[in-house]
Amino acid sequence: MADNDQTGLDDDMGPMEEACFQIIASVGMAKSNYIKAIEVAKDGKLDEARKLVEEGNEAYLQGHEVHMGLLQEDAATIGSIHVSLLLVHSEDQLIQAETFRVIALDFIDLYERLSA
Amino acid sequence: MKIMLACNAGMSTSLLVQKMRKEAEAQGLEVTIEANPLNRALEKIDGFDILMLGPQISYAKDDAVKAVDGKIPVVVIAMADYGRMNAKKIIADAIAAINA
Repeated sequence: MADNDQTGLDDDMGPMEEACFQIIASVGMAKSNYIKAIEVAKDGKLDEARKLVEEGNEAYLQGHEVHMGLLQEDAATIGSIHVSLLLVHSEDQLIQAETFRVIALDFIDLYERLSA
Repeated sequence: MKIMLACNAGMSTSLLVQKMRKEAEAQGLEVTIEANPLNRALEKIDGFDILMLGPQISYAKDDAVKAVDGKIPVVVIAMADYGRMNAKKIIADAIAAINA
């Protein structure tokens, strides 16, 4: 985990809380990008929409990697990870991002056909 | 100085608020910080100096700007600062935006 002093991280924030927040921040950002992509596609700005999806994918990947790390740790230690409401919330954000990506890509395609 | 934070459910920002209050206290700043889901935040925004959005609702920034009618700044918290709960940086950004 990151060096607390360098990041300005609070001393009392544990590694688990930190991981959850990283997931929420990155996949939440991704979700936001996907929703925005639908909005701009609706205005006919298809290139901008695709760029937002790509940027969203990059953000999503960061959160996904942190989540994958937790899954691997849990598997390696036979379920030792404590499941908190914050962790559930981060996974909720993860699922929403995945869902919105599919929807965003489909909407962009749809708006493209409509404008053709 | 009154700071309003908003995200989807108000859950993650509630945690951030605690960190920010602690940081503000350490800096000797007179600050009121509140976290709410966006709709509630907009209802209660009167008297606040700034509205800060979590990165997960940055898509709603345009709507939020319209809702506050340009009276106060609306700032999206950077993904890295949010992910690390970097209260110090977020408070500094808030002060800079209010004074801008």
